[in-house]
Amino acid sequence: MSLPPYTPERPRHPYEDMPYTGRKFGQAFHLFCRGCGYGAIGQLLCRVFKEERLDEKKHPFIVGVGCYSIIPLILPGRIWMTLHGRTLPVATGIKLANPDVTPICLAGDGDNLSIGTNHFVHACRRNIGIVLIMLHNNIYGMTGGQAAPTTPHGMNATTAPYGFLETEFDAVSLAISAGATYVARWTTAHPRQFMKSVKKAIKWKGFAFIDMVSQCPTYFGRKNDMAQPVDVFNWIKGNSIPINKAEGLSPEELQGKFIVGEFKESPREELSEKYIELIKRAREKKK
Amino acid sequence: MSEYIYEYDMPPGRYVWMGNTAMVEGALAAGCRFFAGYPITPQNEVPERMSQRLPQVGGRFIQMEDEIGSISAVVGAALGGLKAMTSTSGPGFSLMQETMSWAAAIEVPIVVGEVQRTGPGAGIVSLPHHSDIIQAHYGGNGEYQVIAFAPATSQELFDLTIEAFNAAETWRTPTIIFSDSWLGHIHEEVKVPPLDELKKRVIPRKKVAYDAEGKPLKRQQYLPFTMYDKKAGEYKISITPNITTEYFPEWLPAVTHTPQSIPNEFQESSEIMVTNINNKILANEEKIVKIDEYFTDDADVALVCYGLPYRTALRSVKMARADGMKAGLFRLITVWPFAKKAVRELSQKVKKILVPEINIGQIVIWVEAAVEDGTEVKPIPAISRLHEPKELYNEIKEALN
Amino acid sequence: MTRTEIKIAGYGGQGVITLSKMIAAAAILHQEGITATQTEAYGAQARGGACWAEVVISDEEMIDYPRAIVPVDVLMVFSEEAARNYKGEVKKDGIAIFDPLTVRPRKFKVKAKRYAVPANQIATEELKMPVTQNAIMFGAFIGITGLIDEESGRQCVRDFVPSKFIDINLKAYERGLEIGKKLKEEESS
Repeated sequence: MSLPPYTPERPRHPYEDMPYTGRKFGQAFHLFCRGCGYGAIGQLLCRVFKEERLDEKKHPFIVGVGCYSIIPLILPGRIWMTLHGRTLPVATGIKLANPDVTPICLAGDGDNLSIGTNHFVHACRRNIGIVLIMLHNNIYGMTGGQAAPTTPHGMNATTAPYGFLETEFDAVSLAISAGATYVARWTTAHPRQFMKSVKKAIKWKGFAFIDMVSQCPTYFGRKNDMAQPVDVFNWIKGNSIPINKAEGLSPEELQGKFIVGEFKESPREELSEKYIELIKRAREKKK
Repeated sequence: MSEYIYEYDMPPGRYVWMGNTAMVEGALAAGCRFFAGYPITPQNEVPERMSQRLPQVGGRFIQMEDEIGSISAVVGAALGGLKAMTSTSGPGFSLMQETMSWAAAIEVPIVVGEVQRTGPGAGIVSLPHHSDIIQAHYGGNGEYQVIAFAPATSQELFDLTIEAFNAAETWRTPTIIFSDSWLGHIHEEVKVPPLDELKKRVIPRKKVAYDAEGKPLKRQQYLPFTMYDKKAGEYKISITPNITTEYFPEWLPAVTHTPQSIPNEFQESSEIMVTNINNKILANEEKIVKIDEYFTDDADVALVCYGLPYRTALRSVKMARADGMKAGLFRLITVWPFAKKAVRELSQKVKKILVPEINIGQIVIWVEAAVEDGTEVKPIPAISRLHEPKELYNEIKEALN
Repeated sequence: MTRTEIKIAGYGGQGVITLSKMIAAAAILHQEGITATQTEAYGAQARGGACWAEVVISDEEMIDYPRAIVPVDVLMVFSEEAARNYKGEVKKDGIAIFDPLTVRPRKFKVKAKRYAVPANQIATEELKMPVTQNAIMFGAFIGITGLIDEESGRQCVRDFVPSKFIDINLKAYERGLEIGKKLKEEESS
């Protein structure tokens, strides 16, 4: 039997030997495809953790299932990998049980807009203090390039060889109409803005949603005549329009574009705080 | 936020409680402080009362968007440090299977109250049907074990719910309380013991693990998951990790993992994990299983039953004894893990075993498998109804002739 | 080991379930030495439609079979449909109670002793409060069967009704008790 050794020793200071390329299990390698955007996103999250000096007990990462499930290999803090699409209800349980903890959920577009859409819209509605970073690569990468709810109309995928007939989901509009209080979208072409957004979301009281568009050269690129990783990156970059510039454009002009920016910032009472008030009220009433 | 968690507050005494209410009070007495649920008849009184009572003892109640969300939130809260439960019925229970399998894999102590109704499909909400006995064990993907209790009175719903929470804490596996549409709505007497007596019965959630000498374990010494101790020849079940304490592993995976919580794809790892999570229950069958026997010492025919049919069978056996027939009753208080050894011993004593069940015969298969000496086993199915005492009496009479 | 099987049937909204719960609660909480089990047609009390409830009263530690074993000792019917369905399910020496306003006596021919309790009429005409018919029926039940002490019944009524309606309901209960005892006397004389 040959199991990898377990190295439970922790660094003296949680941030002391945390290189941006990761420290989990002391690994010096990653499992991402060449040109994948997720490595960069993981690195950006590491930087947020380090710069903000976040307490890992207060900010566990709740991770779903998808290509991005290997991001935690380079992430600091505690990782809890859940079933496909169930990140948000698990985080809801954690948050209600421990109102001083703010879980950071990593979910994919398949997690969040397909199998777990129900949980997503209701978490937005409840305004529970969770950070949700949706990693959006337009395709199911882990299972081999099947069409996702975010695959743009007409694009190819392994389950849409003649072009995707359906229309893609706009997660941002969905989150806004469902009642999320902080909503933003960035792409891998906007790393600094994304970091700023994550920092804001972690301190946000309520449900914070960030739609992070990333490139998948292996499946999305190859299936759609973008042979080089940088082609997909450029496709995303070229299709991104800042929110202030998008305002004057017609729906036709915005077809297939990624509008980036901070869409909504309207604080509302947070659920777990309200629940503590409810406990006080219920106990008062009982007396 | 443990400062908002309060002690159980129901004054001791006699109450007339509906079965569902008794289950809620039992859970609260056992220290349950989190409930997530979704409305489905006939368990609606459980979330209703939970929403009223939980805040009074500092617990958290949330009505989720569906049963999948409910049980996932329960798993989240359970590793968030609270004793947690959900309840559901037929179709909702099917939706929960995926997460139950996962909860068994990562050894989370959760309790599911299953107020069974008829099936298949939507069935009839107001009739009892013990249709999910096998589903509870084999419903999820992969191989895992559950512990299932089958109470038969309101009082037992109170007492055995406490036992169910204790079992979940001890063995770290999903634990199920089998109620049904009738038992859930029966109004009966429930005696609530004083708080200090209750406290002796409840196994609390531990935050710190200790070694053999009573010293708190360091993080490096703590194993998040069950491991087989070869020297002692037993399964070592450590305390449940808590996301806010030192013990939470760096990576808690949904996939196959080692006892140290390292995910990997080696066959050996799968073998160890599957063996451990199953054998920690199966090897301790005698410690977990609860049974009750009535008049079986000199019986020629015995009825094996669980849940409500036990009450019918008890009456029939009393009737048969009054008429001089040597009938006995063997009751499974825990349905899962199956009391294989005890049933085998019973089969050596009696000539014939009757298994009345409110389904087409789900446990009878297990009874047949446990019997080794060729004792005849006969199912007595009843679909969506209780057996009549006379009916079982006649079966006993026929079996003795 | 003595069991008393009680079956109550009628339409949802007539107080069938409440009455059964009152009988069970009186036996469990207010009377020493006996216990009870109540089962019901689930969900019918709010929705209307045919509705029944069963109570088993016993002096055992635990009641085994939770449903009333047919033939029952006491049958109470509040609708002709219920009378038609259940009139064969009462013991020959049992007790059959009905409300003459909702069940015509000729539609309810049983071998058991029959008692007509005009609870509806008294509630609406004398007490001017139709919901008190439950307390009247409960009083009559205790008066006729004697299964539960009068004082236990009184306690139970106090527990069951909202505080501002306690007086009127207690009055109704006493009235029911009186009717019940009178019917019983007539029977024995």
